[in-house]
Amino acid sequence: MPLYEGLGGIGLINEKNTTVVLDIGSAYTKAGFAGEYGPRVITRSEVKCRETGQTVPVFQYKDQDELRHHLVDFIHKLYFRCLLVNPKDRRVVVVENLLCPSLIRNVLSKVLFRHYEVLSVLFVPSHLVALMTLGISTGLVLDLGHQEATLMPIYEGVVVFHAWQALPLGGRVIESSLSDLLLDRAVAVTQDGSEHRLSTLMKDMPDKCLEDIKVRTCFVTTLERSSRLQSNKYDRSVEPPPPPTSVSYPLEGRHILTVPGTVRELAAESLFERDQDGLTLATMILDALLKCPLDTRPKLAENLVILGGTASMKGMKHRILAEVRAAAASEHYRHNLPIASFKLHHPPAKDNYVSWLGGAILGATEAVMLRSLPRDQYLVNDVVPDWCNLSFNTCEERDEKCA
Amino acid sequence: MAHLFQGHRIRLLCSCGLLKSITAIYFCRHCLKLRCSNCVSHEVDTLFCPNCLENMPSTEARLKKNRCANCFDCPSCGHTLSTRATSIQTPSPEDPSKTVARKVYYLACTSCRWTTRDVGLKDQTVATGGWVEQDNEHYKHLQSLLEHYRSVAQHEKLEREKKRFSHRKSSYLSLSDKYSLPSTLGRKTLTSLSPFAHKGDVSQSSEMTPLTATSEVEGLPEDIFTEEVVLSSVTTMEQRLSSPEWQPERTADLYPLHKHILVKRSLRCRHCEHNLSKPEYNPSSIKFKIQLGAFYHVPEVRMVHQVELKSGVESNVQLSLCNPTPHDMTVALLPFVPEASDITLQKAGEDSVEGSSLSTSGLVRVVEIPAEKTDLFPTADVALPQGQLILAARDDTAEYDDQESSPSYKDDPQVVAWRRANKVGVDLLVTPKPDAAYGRVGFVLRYDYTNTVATASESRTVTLNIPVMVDVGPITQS
Ligand SMILES: Nc1ncnc2c1ncn2[C@@H]1O[C@H](COP(=O)(O)OP(=O)(O)O)[C@@H](O)[C@H]1O
Ligand SMILES: [Zn+2]
Ligand SMILES: [Zn+2]
Ligand SMILES: [Zn+2]
Ligand SMILES: [Zn+2]
Repeated sequence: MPLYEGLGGIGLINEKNTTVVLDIGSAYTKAGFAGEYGPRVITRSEVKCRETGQTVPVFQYKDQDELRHHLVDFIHKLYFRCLLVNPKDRRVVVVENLLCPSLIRNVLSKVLFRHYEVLSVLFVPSHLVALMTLGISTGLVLDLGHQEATLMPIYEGVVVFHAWQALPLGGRVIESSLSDLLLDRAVAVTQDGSEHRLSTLMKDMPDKCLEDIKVRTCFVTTLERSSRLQSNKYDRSVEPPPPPTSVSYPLEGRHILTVPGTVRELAAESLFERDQDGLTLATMILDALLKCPLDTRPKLAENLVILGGTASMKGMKHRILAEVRAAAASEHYRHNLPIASFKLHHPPAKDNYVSWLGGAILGATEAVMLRSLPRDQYLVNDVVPDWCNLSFNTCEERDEKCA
Repeated sequence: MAHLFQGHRIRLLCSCGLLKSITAIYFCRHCLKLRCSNCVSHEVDTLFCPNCLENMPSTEARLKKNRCANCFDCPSCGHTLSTRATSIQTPSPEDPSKTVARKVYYLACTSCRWTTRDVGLKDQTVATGGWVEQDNEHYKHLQSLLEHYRSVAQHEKLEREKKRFSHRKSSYLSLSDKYSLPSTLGRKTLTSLSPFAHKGDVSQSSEMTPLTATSEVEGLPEDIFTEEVVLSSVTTMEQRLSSPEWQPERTADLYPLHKHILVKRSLRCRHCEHNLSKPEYNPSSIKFKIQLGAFYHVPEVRMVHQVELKSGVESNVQLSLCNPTPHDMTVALLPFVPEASDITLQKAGEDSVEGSSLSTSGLVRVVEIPAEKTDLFPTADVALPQGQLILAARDDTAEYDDQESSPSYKDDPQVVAWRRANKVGVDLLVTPKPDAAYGRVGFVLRYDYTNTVATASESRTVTLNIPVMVDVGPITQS
């Protein structure tokens, strides 16, 4: 069909203006080029506030204008510090969480089209494209990010949107429970060699510090040890398992903090403790399955995908799988959800950039030409129609077929 | 610099609606408007390595992923690594019983003392290069995925076009029977060809083996409950993320990082596409080929000295105006109106700029950025000097002249407090409003700008209005 070999079709693979792929997370942003196997940069989603000059999270804003300024400055940094290409007249693929507020998507489109004059934007749902890295089209995708855990089942390439789940169980929860535990239990040695309770030295711990302690020393313990620890809380006669070793941690270059072994082990427990509604990471998965059509459940359960930075924590995936199996066997789910086997996928990427990688694979195909929202069209009335989002794209085709 | 120009105290209203100090503003000589980093178009001009100061063409930069081939950063602290030479004894190639000294090289950090030897990397026999690049372990799989999805999307595209084609035919010619076949076929295969459901036509698309899920996943290491944690052997988030594809968890897996290159940017006016700033090509040069900073074209306003403001009390605030151009300038201070600069545009458009705007910006479709909302509310009343004054042209030789050579201007003492070379002092009477904590006044600086790019047919001088905001200082309540 030489007639249709338009300009775009010919040189996509060797195209000079390679498509940029962005995944702007609440804590970390992944940026790079379509067709590459890893992001060029993973950087904190932070900018300097224009008024105060202080470093603030991109998505911490008073009003739409402030968010726009943050995004303008942040994207400037991505293009001119990290990617080193001109944004103008270049395509962009944005990996977005389907549950992300539409305000953010609208402001981001405004910034990309109006401030940076990009050629086109394609929003791809993070959960959906994550499956592309595995080469599968059905899966139950759980994203453990910084702010929250979000879950989306996908069946035969179609997002089962009404079964979505989200809970504020992410890296931040671990950090805040780590902070509570440390202020409650930890001691630190000050410069003069004397020992003090941490809570007497500081009221709250800096976030960067908490993250560092979390990433370098904490882990997710086994279900078996966790239940022994739980029982010990209520019944002192139950022997607790011997605690892991403690760690000496230099705090802000002044104090030596001793991180007790119990704190290392317990910090992540908040993800598995039932809240008032009895919801945990495990129930998220099972509740989502309950909302999916009966015949899709076994296949979804055998195609679990867990991603996001927090999934990298040592022991996390093992524990989630154990919790899911235990919960599925419980009174509550056994009858409604008779599922024999749960299986987990291993994406060919580090957990925190799986979705980005999916976007990078998709961004290297013709889909970018076919489905993106072009600048000219956006500029007509500054709205982002839903069709430029891939999930709606695929739905539309389904409808077309049914009709 | 910012301090020198009192950047935080005196700010000009840019055409985009932001208040910026004169050092952060450009003046487009073609549009005759102020522009700032918020409202110009930024472009990558040249790429260079900040360590060896070599330029890198953009094609090369793309291949090398924006990293210098020869310079390395420390994976532990980010400092630049330096090459160390030492000699080692190796068996001689001729006679294995003897040893000869050979020169070998390794990389070391002068800041944190990390070396390539720490992580077991072999010393190199050549001074530059030779370090093996790390591979992505999933390369094969990812490559087959990419090919697969590309061919799937390619099919989809063809099908779509087929569909569109047949639709058109049927609607124009109503030859339903003959053309409906490919049309329905196209429709049927469409869903299965969507990039996510590759069940249908896999035979046509390239080989790809989907990954499989497992029932068991790696648990915690056996010894985690008993082993001491050596903090220095576990990497920090920064160390992990500085090589995003690998993200080593142990310091023993750190690998030297190729140094990331930097760009020099050029700035372009979005409205007329002229360059406002363009750096010199040479990476070690800090000069510009084009630099239309506002401080070369717009009279510079400074506060002469700090005044104490009292609530409700009139104080005298003296400003100095300075002419940076080599042409005399008529200047007046008018009451503050934020839209003042727009009025100029219309006026300029009527008489002079029209011709040139047709030839340049007429063809370009300008993408407007959203208007900025800035707090422009003055917290003090101001009485401005009435009438015009003339700012003498800047004369670089005047400094070396002892004589009082400046021609006498017939200054109105009501307006001009003092005059020195290309500078003039004016007095404002500022009365803070009640309850205001910080005194802020505004005025419009009107001046005649001598346009050096205008062609002979156009008038050489244009009158420009620039809204100015002055942060006078804190107000004490009386
Ligand atoms: N190895 C690790 N162990 C524990 N937490 C981690 C690890 N790596 C990243 N994280 C955490 O993951 C979160 C970031 O995950 P990410 O998916 O990038 O978030 P988002 O996309 O929401 O910005 C942060 O809270 C970070 O501290
Ligand atoms: Zn501006
Ligand atoms: Zn270099
Ligand atoms: Zn170092
Ligand atoms: Zn211009």
